[in-house]
Amino acid sequence: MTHPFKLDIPPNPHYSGWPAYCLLSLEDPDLGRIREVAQVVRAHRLSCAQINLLVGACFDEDGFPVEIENAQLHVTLDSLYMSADLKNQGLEIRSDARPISEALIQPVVMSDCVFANSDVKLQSNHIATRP
Amino acid sequence: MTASSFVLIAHTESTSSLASTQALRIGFTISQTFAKNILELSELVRERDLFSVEQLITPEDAHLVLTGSAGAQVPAEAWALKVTADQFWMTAFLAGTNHEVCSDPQELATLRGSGLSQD
Repeated sequence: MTHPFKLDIPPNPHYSGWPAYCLLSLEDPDLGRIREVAQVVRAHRLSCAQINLLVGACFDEDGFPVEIENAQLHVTLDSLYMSADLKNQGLEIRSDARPISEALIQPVVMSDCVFANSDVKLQSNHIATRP
Repeated sequence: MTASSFVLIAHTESTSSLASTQALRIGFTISQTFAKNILELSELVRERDLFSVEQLITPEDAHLVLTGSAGAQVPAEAWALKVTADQFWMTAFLAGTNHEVCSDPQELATLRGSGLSQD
């Protein structure tokens, strides 16, 4: 089962084309991995651990994709957020943090964007393109 | 307990609001215990197949100073250590702001080569 998970990205008035949110397409094994990493954070008194983001994509406020690279998922004791670089711009974006429990227990179902239901995977043919 | 000093060049986001802080330097002195901690964290990264881990730094862990281009100390807070499988670096926030300063990465081999990893 796929769990789409939305993370909002704070606006940056200095740049145009700044993404407004990202969507993570978390499969069940990804959720297990997040649990495991959260336990590592707790056991080793870390503030955060970063794992390479498996499937994620960023979108602007109109729902159009924004190209990113070096995406990372940051896992703390009880929350997760993502960071990434805007492709070819050398700028880092960082999402707001959301409770891990939301990803593990209550997947966000996207009803107002290109991903209309919780079973849709992030694939290129589901991503809107500009006319 | 022995200690060793490092100076890492910091860089910031290239926004106009931070133009005056481009030439920051992070200098730090770490204890043998903290150096071993850094090496252990790198092992953890490798064993758990993580990209990196982050640990908040207390004054007991390391003495850190952020210095501006004119040599004056720049107030900073929320110091953190970040460790990958083969590098480590320091981050901090300019005091009272949400602007993060990030040092250039340092090779872990530097710690091993300094003898800090040996009791």
